[in-house]
Amino acid sequence: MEKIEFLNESLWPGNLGHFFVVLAFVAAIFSTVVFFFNSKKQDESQMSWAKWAFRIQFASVVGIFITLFFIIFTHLYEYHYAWKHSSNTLPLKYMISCFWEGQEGSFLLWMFWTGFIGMIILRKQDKFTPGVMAIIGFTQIALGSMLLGIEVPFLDFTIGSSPFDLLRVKSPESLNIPILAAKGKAAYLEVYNNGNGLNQLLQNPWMVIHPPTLFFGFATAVVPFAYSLTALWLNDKREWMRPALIWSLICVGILGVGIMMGGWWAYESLSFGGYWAWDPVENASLLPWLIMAAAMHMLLIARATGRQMFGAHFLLQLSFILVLYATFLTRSGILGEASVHSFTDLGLSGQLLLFLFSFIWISLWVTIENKKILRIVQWAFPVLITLVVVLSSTLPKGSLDSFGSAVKWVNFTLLLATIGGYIYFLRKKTTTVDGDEKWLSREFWMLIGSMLLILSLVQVISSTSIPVINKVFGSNMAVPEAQKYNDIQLWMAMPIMLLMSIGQWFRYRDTPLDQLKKPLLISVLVSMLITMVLTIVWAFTGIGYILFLFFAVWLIVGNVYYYIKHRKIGFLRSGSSIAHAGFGVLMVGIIVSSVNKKILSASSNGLSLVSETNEEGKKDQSAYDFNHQNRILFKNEPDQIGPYTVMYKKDTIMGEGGIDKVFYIDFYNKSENFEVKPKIQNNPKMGLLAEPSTKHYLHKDVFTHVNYESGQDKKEPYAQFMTIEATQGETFLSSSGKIKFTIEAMEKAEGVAGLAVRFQVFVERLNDTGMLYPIFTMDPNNGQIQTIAAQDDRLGALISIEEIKPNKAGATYKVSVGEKEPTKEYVVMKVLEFPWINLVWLGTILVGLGFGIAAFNRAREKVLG
Amino acid sequence: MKLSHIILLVIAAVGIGVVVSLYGDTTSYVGFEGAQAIAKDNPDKQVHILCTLDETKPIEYNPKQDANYLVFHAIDSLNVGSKVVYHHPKPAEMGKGGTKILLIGRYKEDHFIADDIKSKCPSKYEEAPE
Repeated sequence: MEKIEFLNESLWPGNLGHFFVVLAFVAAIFSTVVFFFNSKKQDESQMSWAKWAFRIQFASVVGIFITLFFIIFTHLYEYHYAWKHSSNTLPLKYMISCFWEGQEGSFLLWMFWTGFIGMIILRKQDKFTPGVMAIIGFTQIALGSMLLGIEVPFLDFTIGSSPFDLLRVKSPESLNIPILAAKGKAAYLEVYNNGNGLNQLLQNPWMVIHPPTLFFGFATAVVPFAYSLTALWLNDKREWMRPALIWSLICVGILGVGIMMGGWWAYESLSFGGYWAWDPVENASLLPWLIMAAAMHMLLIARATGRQMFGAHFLLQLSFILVLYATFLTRSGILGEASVHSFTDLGLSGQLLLFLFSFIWISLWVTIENKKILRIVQWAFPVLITLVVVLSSTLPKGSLDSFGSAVKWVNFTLLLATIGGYIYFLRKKTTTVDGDEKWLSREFWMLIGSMLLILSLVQVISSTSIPVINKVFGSNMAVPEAQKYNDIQLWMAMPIMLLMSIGQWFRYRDTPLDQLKKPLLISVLVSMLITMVLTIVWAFTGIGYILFLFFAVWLIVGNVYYYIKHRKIGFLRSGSSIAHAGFGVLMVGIIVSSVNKKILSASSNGLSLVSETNEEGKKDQSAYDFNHQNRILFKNEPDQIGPYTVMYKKDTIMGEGGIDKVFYIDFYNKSENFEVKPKIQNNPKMGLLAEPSTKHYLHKDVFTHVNYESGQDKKEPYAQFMTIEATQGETFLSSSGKIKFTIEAMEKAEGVAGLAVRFQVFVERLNDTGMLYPIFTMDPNNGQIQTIAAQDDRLGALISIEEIKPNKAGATYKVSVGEKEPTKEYVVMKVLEFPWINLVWLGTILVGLGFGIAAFNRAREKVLG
Repeated sequence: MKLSHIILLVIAAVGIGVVVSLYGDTTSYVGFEGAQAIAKDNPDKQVHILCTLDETKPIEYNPKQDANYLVFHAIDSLNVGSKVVYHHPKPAEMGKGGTKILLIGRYKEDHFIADDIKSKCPSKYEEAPE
């Protein structure tokens, strides 16, 4: 093949970026190895080498960031990442969002935060530093390998996927344009002068801050994990818990807020009408959160009483393993059909599995004390896991033959043995305290609470993992609907809320019963009263909902009361009360906004084409419920939707390339008057995207969403053309008698070459009128005539001027009129009311605040202590 | 035996119960004929059907008559076709060639009633430039 010279490429940023990627990778390996060999006995000079290597690593990660940003900012579309995720007109504030649209950017973001956390940990050196930094460094190696994009020679396998890959290398078909390869010189960038653009759904301010927050939460999960392992490695029983606790508080707080930011984004810009859909992506981020919350409470028990050392280690490690598992779920493409999110498989599945299993391997390796067993396990584990993965990947879906069932049992046994063995050795390694907890002790109830959190996790993880289970066991199960999660989690949440409300009143070790009676009695009575009032006000029926409301109210009351009673402990120790009460507020918000959610646009009028009674003559509620949720609104014809008179007033075409259609819809009644602007974007690359519009009140939200609009109807062509000789100023009737038109004026058409006349034609049909502007042009050189017709679909009228015949009086015009049925413009809209949804956000803020205060307080104690 | 152990066992039992009932209760992917068979015994049971839009038959959606009524035809992986009724507006991406759709719902009389439609348009994630 002849060598092609590619013109106008700017290759140095890519080379620089690659250099940073490799430097970060190598520096991470160096620092990890050196830190590890200093983890038991620290050698100062070696430590300083390792530290510098880590700093270089972090600087390189920052370098990768800046280089990639430069590429996106200067629109260097020779790079695949910039071409795929950005465009010339992308606003600056969303350029940063390009980083997380692609997987490479997401890993980069995670790497950045992990590096940042490493830098914080390096500021102080203690006996844990090298061990912890070795784990953090190892994470950086694993994450860094995802960005390498280096081909393994002879193996047709690429390690990682580099964000600096060239477009022409990554998609060679981009050069398949004939003009490009001419004469060995390819100016392909003249064609690729604009990028694909960022997914419209990500062009939202919340998408600028949600992913960094979430990834910061994910990144912090490694720290408690690292402290736990280092403590086991160094046989430390106590000191490790302080930093582990601080970081787990930060992790639960940030991750929780990050998850809910995603909920807010979904609510504001997705059209499913809610903030939580139990989608695999959401669930995946919830898994580590649930376990980290449980782990943090175990740590509190362990610090105060020395009990549950095993539980603390186990859950802290599990939490980070779940972060990796969540990453595997969402990034490997395995969820493919189970989610509405798009998953692209970059071919990283193998690497992600390696990432997951190597951390499990490390946990096992640190935990097993017996040298002989360790020697077996450290080799047996990778071999067996590889076997499981290979076997699973060869297992056909739904296979029932003997091979399939044999694989199933082998997989099952291996997984069970790994988990069982790990728990067994970890229990052996951690100390246990003899004797039973007193049942009136705080540690007892915190333990139960943590167990309940795990129980809640079991449901979420077993449902979300169904695609994985299908893969490993060859089954053919479908992922359950959101309702199933709600049904189960509703009951799971109640005992958890109960414990969150009363837990703080217990003291560690034992609590005199007398001390508990009064606060419990008062808080229960007050809560019952409030619940009763709220039940009536909100018209709750159904014992499950009322009970849930009661526990949520009690959770708030109990914690507020606790803090008022103990206000002497100071604001800095209010963290747990605020976080717990905030969780209660969140729960009240969730229950009221979902139980009392109203589909305002639902109606019983209109054409019902399903029978609403079944064979036994009973009302078929299911058929009824899903009927009539949307309403059709014709332009300028007000209609009653719920308590509002609603009118579709106008629409405008906006946005780059005129692809956004914004609908202006008025809502009014005696006391309210507002306008919503839902949007439909006809994105040439992504199809139709609808963006809801919400009117926020303090106590409710009105959520509107256009599901369909008249523009999506198939366009009927104009037919029945008829020609009429017309003169200016007089009104003529088309031969069908439906359309009246008057040529009112004419002028020289601007911007059209030759002799060009722009006519102003007034058109009338029934009671509708409109102005049409057909254009007539004639080339003065050859007399060629061209007509540009004007049409108004609303009137169903098309007018073109075919000929101008000058005469003594002036001129007559040959007018061609096309007719079709007038198109009425309309939208099909869904209107929902979410009462008190602001409590959800308020609760989230309070939870975040509570964790922030608690983490700050613990960190301060550390300084003081 | 410690008190905490007993409670732990209880919670573990509940957990196992949850998992078992969950997996026992999951719907599975079926075809239209399978859906019909299930509907005979259990008319309310939801099933999932992976299929493609039958482009040879028209999509009926006339919002002026009923904005919440869509009829189309789909072909499952076993090449069995069926009429499908969906009591919601027409999904925006429906009607494009090669669209894979996941129908969630139940069979009733001569048609499938979809409670939910999830579609994945292959062009949505296409990388090749136009």
